[in-house]
Amino acid sequence: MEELLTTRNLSKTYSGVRVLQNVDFDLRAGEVHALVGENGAGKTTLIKILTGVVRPDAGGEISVGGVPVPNMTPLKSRQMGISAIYQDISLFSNLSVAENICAGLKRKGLHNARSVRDTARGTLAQMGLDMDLDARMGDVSLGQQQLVAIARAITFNAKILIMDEPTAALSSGEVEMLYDIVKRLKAKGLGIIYISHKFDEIFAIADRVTVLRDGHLIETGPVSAYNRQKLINLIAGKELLYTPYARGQSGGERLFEVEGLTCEPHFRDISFHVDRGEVLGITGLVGAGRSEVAQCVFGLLKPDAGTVRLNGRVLGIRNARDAIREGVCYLPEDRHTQGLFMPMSVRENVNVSNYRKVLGRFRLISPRAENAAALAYISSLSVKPALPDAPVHRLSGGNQQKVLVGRWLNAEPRVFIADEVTSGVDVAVKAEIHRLLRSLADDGIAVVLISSDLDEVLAVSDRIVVMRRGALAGELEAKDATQERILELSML
Amino acid sequence: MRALIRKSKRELLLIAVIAMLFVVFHLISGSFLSYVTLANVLSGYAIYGIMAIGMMLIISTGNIDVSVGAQLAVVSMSVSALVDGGVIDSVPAAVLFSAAIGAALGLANGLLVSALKLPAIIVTLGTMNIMRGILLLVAGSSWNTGLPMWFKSIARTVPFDLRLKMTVYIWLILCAAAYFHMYRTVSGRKILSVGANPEGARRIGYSPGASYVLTFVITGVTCGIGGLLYSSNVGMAQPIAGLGYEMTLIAAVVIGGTSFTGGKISILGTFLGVVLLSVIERGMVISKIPVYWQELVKGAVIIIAISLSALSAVAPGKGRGRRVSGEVSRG
Repeated sequence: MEELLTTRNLSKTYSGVRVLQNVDFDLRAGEVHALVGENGAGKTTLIKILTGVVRPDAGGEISVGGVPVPNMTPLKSRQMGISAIYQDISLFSNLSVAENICAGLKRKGLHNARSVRDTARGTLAQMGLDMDLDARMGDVSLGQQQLVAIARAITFNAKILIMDEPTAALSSGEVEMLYDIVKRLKAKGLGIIYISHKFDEIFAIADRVTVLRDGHLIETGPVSAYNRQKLINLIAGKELLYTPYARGQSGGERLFEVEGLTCEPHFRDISFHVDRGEVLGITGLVGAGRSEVAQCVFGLLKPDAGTVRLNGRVLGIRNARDAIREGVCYLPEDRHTQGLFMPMSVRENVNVSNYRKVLGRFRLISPRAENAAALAYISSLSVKPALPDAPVHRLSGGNQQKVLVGRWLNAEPRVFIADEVTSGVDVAVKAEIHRLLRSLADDGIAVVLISSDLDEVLAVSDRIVVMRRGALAGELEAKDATQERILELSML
Repeated sequence: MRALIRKSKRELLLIAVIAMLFVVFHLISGSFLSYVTLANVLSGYAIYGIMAIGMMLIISTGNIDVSVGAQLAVVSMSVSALVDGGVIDSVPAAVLFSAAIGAALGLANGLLVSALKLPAIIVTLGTMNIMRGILLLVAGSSWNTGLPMWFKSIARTVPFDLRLKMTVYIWLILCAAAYFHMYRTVSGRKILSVGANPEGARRIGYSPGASYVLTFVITGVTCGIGGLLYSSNVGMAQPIAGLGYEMTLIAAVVIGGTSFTGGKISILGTFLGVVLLSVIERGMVISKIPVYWQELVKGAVIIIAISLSALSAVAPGKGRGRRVSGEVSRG
């Protein structure tokens, strides 16, 4: 069969971290090639390289239709017929369906409504679709928007279609329609890269499957050679990255309890609890609603129903200030936009969470007390450089994260919720943070670790809650949990 | 010491530039390098200096206030009218009244910006026109010139025999007050934090809106004091008082190292920025350069200062860092 796209030795390094390593991938005409892997396995990076958004490390090669493309750019990628359809679709909600399908087509002279409609109708007919061409894009369902995005790609003569979780927003009827369209496109000789976490889908429409793990291409083969269990094993891998920590002694005393928490449309009926000395892991795929649960507990999202208890007492948290007063701390997912004050000093960043400790006479901030507090966390978390007055933007990512951890420890937490706390930090700092989370639990703080990194979840937690699409998918004792079990629960 | 120098790079640069300008204008005019000139430079721009403190806070939270000149005019007109009519007959009453009117004007701006979430430049352009319009409606082009001596002497007194007008001392006292507020109180820290990262501030329980309102109120008060000192100094009030002040203030603040990206202010820098603009104006007058050139030079200085601060805001690699954390979730 004709090779539409091949890559050789594709690697990508972000500030010293290898996220893709020597990937040799190929796509043939007329096939659906499924791409599977955990969060962070490198799927998104691979797609970004193919669409020219991200430049690969030197030595990597991309060929389209047998022709090497040395410097891929978004424009080149588009001109060579590569088209990606993302989960968050970028269409014009104020224009009509027909205008969206044709937007950007090169035409001469004035805007001609009839030719736009003819072109759009032609494309939709090829796909076997019947849609209202004049409907405003903002008024049609997410599923139909997805179909319009595909129609748009076809209008632009796409040869290679990349679909990133295309069924995420679709109703079951629309999923059938999508399968149908995919089959038609296949028959026309297009190649389709299909990213999905849903095994049923992969077995239903893929011809071949490629498994990525930790930036490596693990295996490529015909889908008929695999079953569900085999894929899960390949996705998870065998070896554990971190040595598990000795578990604390859980006396069974219930510290923190969430019951029936619901916040539509993000998640519903979530219940879990943390006992004294425990670290609770919450995991699941990106978009499963894990961060939203934390944000709801912390008062950033308003719950529709449910209760949150600390030491048996119901907390009425309405905003972040209430949460901090009750001793609930939330270390956010994105330290740049949701956490740190970049141009301000380490000292100021640590002390913002608790000014009561550093106010002196006339309620003025005492620089000496502030310095002392900052230095205490700088030394206990070994922040480098050990300068309280250094602006945070000058620190490395790992040290920035430590400053943020220091800020929340300074708030004297009783519940410590850490969301993707080790993302973008190096292995040494990761290990330090893991140790710290365990020691917080030993000190009687209820620790909740939200993470996509299964190695991390398995190494640090005592119990693991798995979420799937806004609902509880299951709860596992750490000693019974394996990557495979967690993946089974988080995928469908 | 070395750390201090690194931290105050901008301020040291400004001092050097100001010193250099003194020398240059001295060479051109033959009589610039003197204590008298320095005293005049400070006295001449003290009202700008006072109002620049407020503008600095607003800019550090990513907002802007172009209605400062109009606020000055409103206060100047109303306090003069009341003094003229005998309603206000003491210095404390005049000061309190001016500050209160200014605070009320700032509160209106701040509430519009934070409650309606409208862009500050649009809101304050609107309020500026409203204020100027009302003044012209009420007062026409009449000038209030019959102000009593006790009122005129508020700004004109020269205490301590240092050739510095009272306005300069008020300027310095307000700089000190701003220092304490911004670096030693929680309220000041909140303003800095909100400027640096509003979402981060919300997540430690701060209300960005409340900080925005406070910066506008503080600015209103500085405009109130500015308006009082303005009519006291020139001995009259007119509806077009303070025209174009906003550009001078924005220029001084930006030259001083406060950037629109927020979270970083420099009180000394803003002070020096005002001094620099004053030196340029006075030097050009003494060098007999036509007055039209001054506007041109001021405009050029603003653009240079803003470009420099935009360039240095890009440099610390903010964007790069964010990308790494967004895309790499595992090592």
